[in-house]
Amino acid sequence: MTMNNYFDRQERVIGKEVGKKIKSTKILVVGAGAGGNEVLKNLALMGFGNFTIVDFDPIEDSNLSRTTLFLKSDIGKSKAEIAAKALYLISLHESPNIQGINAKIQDVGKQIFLENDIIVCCVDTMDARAYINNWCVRLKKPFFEMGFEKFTIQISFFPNEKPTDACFREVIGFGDFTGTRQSCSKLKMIDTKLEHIPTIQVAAALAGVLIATEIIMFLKGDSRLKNKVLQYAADYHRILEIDYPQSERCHLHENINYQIFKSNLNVNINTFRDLLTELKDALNSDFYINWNEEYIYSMSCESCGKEISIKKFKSEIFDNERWCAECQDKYNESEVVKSKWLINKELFLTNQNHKFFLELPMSDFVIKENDIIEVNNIQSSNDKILVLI
Amino acid sequence: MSTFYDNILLREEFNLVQKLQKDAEFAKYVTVKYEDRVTGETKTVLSAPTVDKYPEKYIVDYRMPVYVREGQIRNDYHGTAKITLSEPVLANRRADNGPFVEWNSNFQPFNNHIRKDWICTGNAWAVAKDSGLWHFIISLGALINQDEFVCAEGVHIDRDAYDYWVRRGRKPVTNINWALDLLTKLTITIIPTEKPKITIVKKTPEQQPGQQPIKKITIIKK
Repeated sequence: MTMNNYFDRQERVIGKEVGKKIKSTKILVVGAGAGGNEVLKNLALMGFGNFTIVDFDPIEDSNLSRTTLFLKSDIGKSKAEIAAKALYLISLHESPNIQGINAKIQDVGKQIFLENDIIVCCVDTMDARAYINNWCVRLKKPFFEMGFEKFTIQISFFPNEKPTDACFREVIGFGDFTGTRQSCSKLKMIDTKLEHIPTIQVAAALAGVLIATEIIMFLKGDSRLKNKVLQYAADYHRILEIDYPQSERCHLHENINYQIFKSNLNVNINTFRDLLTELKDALNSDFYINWNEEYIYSMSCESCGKEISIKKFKSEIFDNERWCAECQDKYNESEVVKSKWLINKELFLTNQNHKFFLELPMSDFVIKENDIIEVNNIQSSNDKILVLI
Repeated sequence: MSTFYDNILLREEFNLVQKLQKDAEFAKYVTVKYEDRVTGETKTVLSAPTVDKYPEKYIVDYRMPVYVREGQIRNDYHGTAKITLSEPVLANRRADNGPFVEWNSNFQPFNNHIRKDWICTGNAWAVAKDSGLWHFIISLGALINQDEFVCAEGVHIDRDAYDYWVRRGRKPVTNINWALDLLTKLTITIIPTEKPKITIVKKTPEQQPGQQPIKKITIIKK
């Protein structure tokens, strides 16, 4: 059997050790648009073969002028799934393992971050960037990020390896990025649309090259972009490198002792009471769960009063969801909230008002399979448990 | 949930609301309680929470006269706001999206911003967001009382109520002296001390002739 010689020249540049790392490194790429396509293509050609690709968008005709992995015949299909298939065809890895997940990253179990060695963020919204960054900091995963507009490219790398490392929150600020135009109900208006930024293929290609290069430098141990942002204005060939020290305003860097606990429970069968009891029995302490924002389990229709199952965080709900499917024609955005919402934000075993939510199967309350639940110790706020479930 | 939110921000809000409740004028019209996070009990804000888990849910009772139609006031109005705090709101007070509020009352006042089971919190948060929950609680009370500083101009949910408020000269129903100076209000304690002693001593015999007379003053500091 003849050995292929794909990487002979490459290994003269980066060495055989890095070549071995390339084969085994698992990469999660979130966002398979123009930038994601370019990063994936570059990495696959350099021998990476373990990819998980997450994107919830379908391919549109406007994507084709900036994406190397999509064809005209792919319009309307899932970006993540088509990118995974195309990548498999060009992969030079001896046994590629490439998975495309057609979903929002927030809707995928958070263990996806633990299962991968490097996280590459190629999304186009701030709330998704903030979400991915937050989990990379908690789980100490290297976070590569890209963005581009017109001819300007911005990439950054936060290794999340030392307690003094910064994170992408230092770049984008500490605000709440779920905010959109709000109605009186405090829910999103239905005319909230994602603004399409002006961009061009060469900007995406450059961003893809720069990120792929930094990943190689990181594997070599020679990364010079740690805790930095690099901006390149391609139309003027200007480069700007910005250091980001850790900010005391970023509470992701609090001195928290995270302990990982593997639960034996099933999210579709077991309840939160089961989970908190399992933790209490195993760790001999009292725990509680607190979500960042309110979770709305159900509402009653503003028009007919019928109960509507919601099961989402408040910032994910559109105002018109207060009307049931049959009453949508009566939707009125200025109508005040008349109906009562079944809503909760945290769960204590000992809180008499949490009984209803404690008895729900966890899958009924935002938890997915392969998820991670952050649980707080009542006695010590610096000790938190990350429950793998 | 960050420990900064859990240990610092929630505690700060609680302490300020506690201070607000001690204001005699405020206490005549508003009572603030909270849901104990650990037990679920409703407690007065003047009592401490279990194991220092500072509350996220406040239950605020408002009792004050309201108009029910032009020229007619009822004195038995009673509304309750259940206010839920969250980290995005407290850590980012400049955000437009304020705390979640559930509202209930015994009847609908003649008010441009309030229904029996709903209260418009938008403007109340807009004026309170730089200060926090204590100001928000005042602002909701001021909305019921139709104080000008919190009532946005323009028709919102009741044109007649708005027009009447304008015709009344945008005056509140009751002249309530809200504790808007809560943060700057200083508590001054005066401890009586002895007055400084000033002694005027006559010209001493050692004084040389031709010199100007000296008034010797000794100040004894206490």
